Amino acid sequence: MNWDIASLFSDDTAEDRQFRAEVRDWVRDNAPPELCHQRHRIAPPELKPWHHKLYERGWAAPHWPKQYGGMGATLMQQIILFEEIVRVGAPTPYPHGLNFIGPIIIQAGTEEQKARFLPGILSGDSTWCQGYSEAGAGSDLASLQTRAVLDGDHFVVNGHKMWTTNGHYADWMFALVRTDPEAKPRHAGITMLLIDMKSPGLTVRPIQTLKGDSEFAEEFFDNVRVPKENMLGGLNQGWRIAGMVLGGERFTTGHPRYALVYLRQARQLAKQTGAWDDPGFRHRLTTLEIDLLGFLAYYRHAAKLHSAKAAPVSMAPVIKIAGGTLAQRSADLLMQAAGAQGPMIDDISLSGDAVNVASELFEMRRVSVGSGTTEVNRTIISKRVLELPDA
Amino acid sequence: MDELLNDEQKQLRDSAMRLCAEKGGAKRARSLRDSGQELDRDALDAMREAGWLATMVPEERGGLGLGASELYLLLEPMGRYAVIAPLLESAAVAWALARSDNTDPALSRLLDGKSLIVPALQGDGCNFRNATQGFIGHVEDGKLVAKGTVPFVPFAASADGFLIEVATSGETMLCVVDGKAPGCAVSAARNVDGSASGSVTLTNFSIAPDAVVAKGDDALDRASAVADLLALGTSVQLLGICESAMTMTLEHVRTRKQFGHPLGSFQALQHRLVDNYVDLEVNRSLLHRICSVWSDGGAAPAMIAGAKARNARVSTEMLRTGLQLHGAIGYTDEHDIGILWKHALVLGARYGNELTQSDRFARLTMEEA
Repeated sequence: MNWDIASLFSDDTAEDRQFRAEVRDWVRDNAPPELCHQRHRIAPPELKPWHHKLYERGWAAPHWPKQYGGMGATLMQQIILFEEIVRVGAPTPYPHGLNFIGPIIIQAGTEEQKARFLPGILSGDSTWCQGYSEAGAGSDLASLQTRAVLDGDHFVVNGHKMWTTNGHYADWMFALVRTDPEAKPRHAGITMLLIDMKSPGLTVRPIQTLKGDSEFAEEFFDNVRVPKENMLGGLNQGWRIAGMVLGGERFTTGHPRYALVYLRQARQLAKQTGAWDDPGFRHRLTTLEIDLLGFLAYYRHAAKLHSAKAAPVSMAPVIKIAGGTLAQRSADLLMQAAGAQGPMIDDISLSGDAVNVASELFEMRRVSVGSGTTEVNRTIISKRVLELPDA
Repeated sequence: MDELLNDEQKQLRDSAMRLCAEKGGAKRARSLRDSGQELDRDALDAMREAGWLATMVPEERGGLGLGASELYLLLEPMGRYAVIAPLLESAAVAWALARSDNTDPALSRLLDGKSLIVPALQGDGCNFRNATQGFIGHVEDGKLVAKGTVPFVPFAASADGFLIEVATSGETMLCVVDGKAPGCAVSAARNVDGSASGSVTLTNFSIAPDAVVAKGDDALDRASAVADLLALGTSVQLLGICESAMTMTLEHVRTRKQFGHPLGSFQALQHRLVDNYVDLEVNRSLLHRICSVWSDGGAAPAMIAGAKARNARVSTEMLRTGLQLHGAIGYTDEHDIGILWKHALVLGARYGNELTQSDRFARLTMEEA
């Protein structure tokens, strides 16, 4: 069976195939080799020239409407772009501007806000971070405490944000802040503010992850003044606004690529280390490959239904649970294939390529925690799909 | 998630749901079992009258001219309502016969309900892994004579004929043979859901030239396709059983109270059901997809092996949760969840169980990178 991500269960039409070929050629000629197949995380400053190249080609924001500089692309074209970029091992632009706040500004922003913020997001000149989580507000995001009080033309913000990806690189943060502490339900008292990261009173401290790099940061707000015109949507409308992230976003973050790559590497590595001769290893590989086969079918099916605006509410949580679990178990198996080499800090060479097994394993912790833990997603299915009663 | 169906497919699905609801259900399966019948003749007749046996037979041969996607729409409700009847087996034989020109008599008998013909193949992963089984043939006085045994053939005791593969020194023959003819013996054994399977043994069995449906590579390809279709269709029925078990279990945990609360309000139980639900969603997409590409040869045998393995595994897990959450009543013969479990056990084991098909998947994908 052909495990190529772009062909197994693909729904490419003749038009899609042509687009894929066009993207593949361009990516091959333009993806910066120094960014491809890197074991370390490519930080926003390093990524900027590549983002800019995609922007100049018109491919930075395929999903944005044409009037804002996007392609007005179909979901399949978005997936194709994503697949062809990851095929050569190149990084994709960070989603916080292009996929999270950009579409929200397009839908809920004033004309002034659109003119001010969208061009920088598109070109990659401005780096954005998402200020949602707090020390006491993770899965229970509506309990967030960072307080914003209106004082004349400004909000005065006090509090603490945490687990902010790229917080220490960002020029701007889109933040959910509490503007009504008495509101019932709690999420009715939350507003979204666009905050300049150079504002006086704002201190940023990077946080080192298990992987060893500083993927995220925490921010301390000490009487940070945010102009009133940086409020996005209405006062206390933040929760609703935050929900405007396009559903298509799941198709890049939830893409089966991790499991595909890890299982292929696990096969190769196992032959190198001898793990392949172990029937237990092969059975586990088979079970995961069968799960991958199923998830690939689900993913393509979901894309088709999403495009037809017929995707059920269960889609995003299923992608999260099935895809996240599969990616983690595949990374676990890669560790098994590596044997005693697995926990080494150095890369393991693998038929002309290299893999850092432990680093990949660490990286995969993110997929079951970031933007909604698998447990929160289980509860969403339990309530909204299976209609099980509350305790 | 369901496939996007066209109007014709929606009608087919709705009528399949109606027919299976009327001619099926756990109570009926239980009473069939208790009366010792291995299949539901009445249900099969109704399906035949609806044209279902000819789903994948071209219109010019008297069929519906549809594909595996439509067969899916018929088989899923069969699983859901635990209808025990050889629709899949008949439809697969009809598909194989319709691809040869000389098969009109056998095809008509099958589609008219005069003969029940089921596959008795010794395919890869199809029945039993012991490689010594199968039919072999030699030519004697210009006539093909076959011998051998194929075990675990579902519905063998009720069948009037079989679609068999005969290996000769020269080439393989795919034949449709009369099960009542001299030299053919069937010994049946009952399964826990009331169905039966039997060993088909041929001794000095003469096969007339007009009984040969295909030869050589054509015969091998068609026999493999039938075996694939059987594994695929059985997986669809397993999915239907799981859907039913899920619905039954959800209803139970919504209403049954312990410690003053419905069982379904306890998060530990909710999350177990969600994991089963996610697995079923994935299986449904996989089966939809394989069925939609099966007819044009786009479904690799490895995909089908993987789908059967995964559906068998998930059915074990779904039914484990279902039985567990029903508590003691789930261990009684009186409750329907047990009927579903036993049916799932039989279909899970039929045409290659989880480990057989998973091993087959591994072999078929072995040579890759």
